[in-house]
Amino acid sequence: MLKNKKLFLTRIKQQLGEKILSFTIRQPNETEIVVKKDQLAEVCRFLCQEKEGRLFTMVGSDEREFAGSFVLYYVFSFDETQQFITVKTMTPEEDSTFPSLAAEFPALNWYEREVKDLLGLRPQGHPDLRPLILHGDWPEEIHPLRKEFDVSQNAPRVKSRESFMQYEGDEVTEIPVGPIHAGIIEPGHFRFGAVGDTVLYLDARLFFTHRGLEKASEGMPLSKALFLAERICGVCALSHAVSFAQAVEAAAAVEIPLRAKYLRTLFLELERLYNHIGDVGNICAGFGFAVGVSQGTILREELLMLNERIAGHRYLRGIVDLGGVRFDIAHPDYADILSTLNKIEIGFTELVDILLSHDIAVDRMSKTGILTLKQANDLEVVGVAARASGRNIDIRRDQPYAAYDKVSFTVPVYTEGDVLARIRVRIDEVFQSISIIRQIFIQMPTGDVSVGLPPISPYARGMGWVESSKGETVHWLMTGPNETVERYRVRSATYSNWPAVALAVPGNIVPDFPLINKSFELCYACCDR
Amino acid sequence: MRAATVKALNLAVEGEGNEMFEVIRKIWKTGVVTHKLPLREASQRYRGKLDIQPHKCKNCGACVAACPAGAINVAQKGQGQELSIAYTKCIFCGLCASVCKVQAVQMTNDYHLATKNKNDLIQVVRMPQ
Amino acid sequence: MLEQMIQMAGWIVLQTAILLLLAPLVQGLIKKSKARLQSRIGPSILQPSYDIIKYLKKDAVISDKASWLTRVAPYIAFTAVITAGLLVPTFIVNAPLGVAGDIIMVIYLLGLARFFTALAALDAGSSFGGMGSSREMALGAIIEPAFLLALFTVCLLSGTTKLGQIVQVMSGKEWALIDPSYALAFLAMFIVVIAETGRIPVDNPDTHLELTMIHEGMLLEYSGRYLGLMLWAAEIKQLIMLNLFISAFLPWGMALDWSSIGAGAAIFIYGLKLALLGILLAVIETAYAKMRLYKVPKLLAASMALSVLAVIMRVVM
Ligand code: SF4
Ligand code: SF4
Repeated sequence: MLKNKKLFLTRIKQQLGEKILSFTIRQPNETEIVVKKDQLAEVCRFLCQEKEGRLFTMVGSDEREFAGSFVLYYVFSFDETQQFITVKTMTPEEDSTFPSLAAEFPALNWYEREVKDLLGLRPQGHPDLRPLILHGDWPEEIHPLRKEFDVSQNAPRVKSRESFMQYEGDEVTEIPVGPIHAGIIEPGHFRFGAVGDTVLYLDARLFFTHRGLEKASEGMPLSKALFLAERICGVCALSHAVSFAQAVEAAAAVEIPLRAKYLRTLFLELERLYNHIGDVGNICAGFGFAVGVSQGTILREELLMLNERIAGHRYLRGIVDLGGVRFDIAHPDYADILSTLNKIEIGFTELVDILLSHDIAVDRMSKTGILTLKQANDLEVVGVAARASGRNIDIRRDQPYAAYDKVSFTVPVYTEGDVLARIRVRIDEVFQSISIIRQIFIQMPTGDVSVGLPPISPYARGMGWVESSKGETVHWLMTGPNETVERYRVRSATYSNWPAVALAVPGNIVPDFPLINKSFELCYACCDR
Repeated sequence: MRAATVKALNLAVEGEGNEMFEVIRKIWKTGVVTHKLPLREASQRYRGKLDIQPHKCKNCGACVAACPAGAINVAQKGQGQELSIAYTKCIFCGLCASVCKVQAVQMTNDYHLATKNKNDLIQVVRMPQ
Repeated sequence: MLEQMIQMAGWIVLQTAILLLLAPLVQGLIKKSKARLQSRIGPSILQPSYDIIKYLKKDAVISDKASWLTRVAPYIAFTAVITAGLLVPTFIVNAPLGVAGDIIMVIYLLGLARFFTALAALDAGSSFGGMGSSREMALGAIIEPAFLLALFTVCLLSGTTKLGQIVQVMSGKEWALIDPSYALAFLAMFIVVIAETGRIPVDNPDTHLELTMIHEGMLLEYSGRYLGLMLWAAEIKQLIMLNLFISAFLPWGMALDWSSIGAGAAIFIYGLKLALLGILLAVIETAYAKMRLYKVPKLLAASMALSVLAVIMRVVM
């Protein structure tokens, strides 16, 4: 394996040859390649197409103070050799543009627009330069992630520059929905171009509740930023906290105790369980199957109460510490968890049996909202949605973190790409999670649950990732002086998957949209960080 | 004719009969799960309101420094010190309790915070000299 | 003569009161049963009544794009529905306005209410109102024939279109009622009741997803007392559908005249029938899921096929 990695990296170095400025192995699993702006497209193409890397995250950062320019990082993951390669390129303030790759790699569409909105670097040749994160009424020349932007400053509002897809032809009706909905849902504005009840095109306007957490974290002590990370989202609180903690630990280059790793794995799986089971129930609401909804909610509540008994918080907040976990659990807790899980397993099996043998339910779910493998690959879709479309990725297996390399589990993959496949992936994963938790209790060693962090040097970088119930969540962190945050970039699973919804909906009927949307279970808060 | 009728009836009822029975059996098994108020006590580990014992406090300020939300404050009031906790800001992380060496601050499982007056959410404790 | 008129007026008042008060109760009962079936305690049976009182007390906010239609539609729909209700027997074999109209009249009065509701939904120009009314009218175009066919079967069996007489003939038949064509019509009518009351698998009355709504979508623009009236009308319509079903298919135990003992027992039996039907609706709604929109016509077509079969059977046998 180790030899493989070496070979893989030397090969890349040789093949890229003159195109790169430098090639540094920064960490055992991370290599940094610095390129000039004009070589960016070629290097990325090489890494993606010939080496089968997949885009993991992309970060734009304002490093004018200490490096003299803006810096863009494109991180690619190579699952086979468990390597990351970061392609780094600089762009000085005078020439605040960078070559856009979005036309070639559709997955980069949002990242580049985000860099444009928040840092004011213009992606040249980008096919769709509408505002993304900041809405049209935000002044075009104010860029919050530039260091000179003061958080307390109130930006004036300008005349909106928002625009939507235009339709031609009399048959096409435009149906605007939201951002305020009839039910209690997070804000999102959708425009359907529909013929009768069939959707032709869907345009989604999101980021209504962008909170600027990345900006707020700048200069914040790492220990406090952990709590900020935990509050990015309600139902993936733990995933975000663990990702952040892992990013800090990577920057500090510390290894956390084995027991802490197992405990993190345990709680992460508990988080996945309550989410997946709740989602299976919630999807039933998409076709008005009341028993599914109520039974799903009952099981989920059972798990939330378990969380409260074990960790003191229903949504598992306040568990993770930088360098481990905050508390240990003992034998009575093991018994509690295992007996609750046995109950859940029985109840969930019954629910699944009913759901999957219910004619109308299955009819509503199958062939609805199909996302093809090609679309999923193009957009670098992650998580449940990816696995339901035949994209075999699961970061727990591909780039193991916590104790996932020590437990055995299978990754369910379906190829249909419809709502039914997505619900099936969840169902299979529930049983996998239960099995993982049982293995944890057999294997978990005794010992400490946290280590102190050594001092972290300024401008150290680290990355943390977690397969949350929605897909992989990536936190990219650069530390500042005195153990503070310099730049923090959160790429949640939702961020990768939203554009896929717009592709899965056309061709379906309008009343199926809520069902399709639910089957992706995208969370607005994760996006609106 | 009779046979045709029976067939038509079967067609109308069949197929759904079985799973409907399953569904109703499941509902019957579950029964009613809603709890009536007042709710039960929260679990022992639940992190709720803080319990402060002013006589133990050494006024070291560790809790103030540790609080990620800036919810704890120590202020000079006349002769003595006043320690105040704003539940409007507190995120119930429990850091203050874990950094206090003398256990002057502890978490309790009391979650009853609802009030009609925001000022009730600021708990002030006077520390003896 | 005068005495008769007073009696008539009294009857009308009584039946109107029954419709007005009983409709929210039936709704409450269905909601309560559904809650139980979802393992919840659920709100009190009186909750829909409280809701209507609450709505009627409130002011209405109306889009400034809306015309007078939005304002009058609730009154028209409400009156049409009440009038239809006066044509359908409840616990006594005849209805107060029984002399004035028959089954066809009931269907058209309900159609009138539907028409105005849909029109008003289009009025404010919101896309959900438009979607709701286009769906409602499309479905209505199939529900109405299915409804007519199912009732025609009954008419054929009894030889009249007057509801009062149908009830008399039917309840006179005693056990002879158990007849294949009758059973088919029974099923056909039951499907129509589900569709007309906007329940699963046709529509979902509890949905909060604008995009899937049918009846609810048409009411989205309404608020305050207009919304109250519209909801009340929908509940009364539901009661009328149940009344129709009871008179056509479960006529036993209805009082033949106003003798006190007979009427008392009839009221009791009527209540029992309503409650059982309500619970049955709740069970069906819980056990089924909402169909895909374009499959709903197939369900209604099945209802029509059953009716046709029933008619043919009647003629052949
Ligand atoms: S519990 Fe946390 S947020 Fe609340 S006062 Fe203590 S340290 Fe501050
Ligand atoms: S409560 Fe504890 S930590 Fe806070 S000032 Fe007093 S002694 Fe120090």
